[in-house]
Amino acid sequence: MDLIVSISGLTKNYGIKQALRGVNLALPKGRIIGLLGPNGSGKSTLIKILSGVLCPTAGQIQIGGFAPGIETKRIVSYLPERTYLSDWMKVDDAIDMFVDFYPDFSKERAYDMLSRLQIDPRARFKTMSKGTKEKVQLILVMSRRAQLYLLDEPIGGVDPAARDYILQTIISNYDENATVLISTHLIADVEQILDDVVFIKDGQVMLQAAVEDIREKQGKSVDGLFREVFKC
Amino acid sequence: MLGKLIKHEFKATSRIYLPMFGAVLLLTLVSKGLLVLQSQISFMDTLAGLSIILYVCVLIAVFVVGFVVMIQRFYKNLLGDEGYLMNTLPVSPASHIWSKFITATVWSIATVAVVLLSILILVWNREVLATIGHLLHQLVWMFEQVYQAKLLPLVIETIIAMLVGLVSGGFMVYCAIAIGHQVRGHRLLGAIGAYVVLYMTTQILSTGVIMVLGIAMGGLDMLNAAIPPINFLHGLMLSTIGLSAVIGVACFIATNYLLKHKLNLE
Repeated sequence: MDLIVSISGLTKNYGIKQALRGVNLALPKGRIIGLLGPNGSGKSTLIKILSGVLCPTAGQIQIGGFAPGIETKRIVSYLPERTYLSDWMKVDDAIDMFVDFYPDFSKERAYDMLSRLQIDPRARFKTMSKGTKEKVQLILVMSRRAQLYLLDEPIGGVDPAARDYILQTIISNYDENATVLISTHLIADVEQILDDVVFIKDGQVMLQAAVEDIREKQGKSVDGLFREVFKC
Repeated sequence: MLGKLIKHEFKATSRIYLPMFGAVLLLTLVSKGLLVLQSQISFMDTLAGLSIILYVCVLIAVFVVGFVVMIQRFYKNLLGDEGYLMNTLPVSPASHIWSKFITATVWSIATVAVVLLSILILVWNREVLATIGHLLHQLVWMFEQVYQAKLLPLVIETIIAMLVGLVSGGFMVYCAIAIGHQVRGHRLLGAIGAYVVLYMTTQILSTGVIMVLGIAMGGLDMLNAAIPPINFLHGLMLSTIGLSAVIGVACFIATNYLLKHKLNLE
């Protein structure tokens, strides 16, 4: 099996709090993977370390054969759970920036999606709602031809109609060799597009399985299994 | 990639600097106008006086704003929310530091140029310029009489010392911010604390260097002399340049290391 990500013994401490405790994980190429877990389980921490904005306390990470750095940033497209766009910028400015730094960015795709979601490219971020900014960020991230997409809570802040469009966008941009890692706790909404799931709890991986296996062998939905595993 | 970073950095900062420069030049012209009127109409005195006070305040504000923008661009753009974008660009931390530094330096030089131009416009008249020229000339003459040596080399050394000092001062600010970033929950406080410590360390170091230099160049004899020997002045400037360079390089290396291996956007 061809891997895009392999992680071994990954640990991250915030002061005395352990956010990740010895995570071992291998993610194959060409899959849509749900990173599922309750609040505070370490989903965001794991994604941030993969994207390179957070340095691990211990452990090894390989993305496409490289440790996080310039080489991995070229092939990773990351959507953080917060807004990173400067208020004074216009959508056009942000697109120019992505064109400058990412050779795999497609301007046409970005403008196409903007018009589909009726977002004015000349509008400043200052004038936009939080949900609209999130949509713009998702468009920027999905307009790249990356090998690994890291989407941290991509549908948390937008309305259900936009949610459907966003999930549709993710599937339609699905390149055969690309892997999409989506962290969320809105499982029912994303379930239908996932190939695999990774359950994470208290900084440890509880389970990694194909959605097909969960449905066929255990006769459960991912949502049902999640409620079972993480029963309070 | 450095060129592209600098391009975007200028885009982000010019919307602050250009209007500011425009305002300074506009205020200069207004003040100049009032000064000219004042010499013809008596009751303009108060107005002209006020405009000069305002003018001086604005000049001070321009430098303060420049310093704040330099800090903000590093702190907010690399280590705040915007850092989630900047630090996932396929660019090395060193390029980020250089892009911020080069842009800030260009704006500082532009600021000094604008302020000098503005002062020149305000005091422009033949007499003033002639007086300044005369005073400078006398100063050089006196120095060369007393020391029996040329002033120019010392002036050049002083200018280089100031430039190297500015560069290392800039990197020291970045280094303090990067160190403060390691203090969870109190990042701003950490940065200020780190700056105080770094600043005091450099002061102690430079005092030490001056003392060693003084002892090496004659010790107590020099204290009894009416003027410090010219060699001591040269030694002072050169060692200041050397020390600043070492501090600047050390701060750059430390900042680069912290951004590369200890980045923690939480």
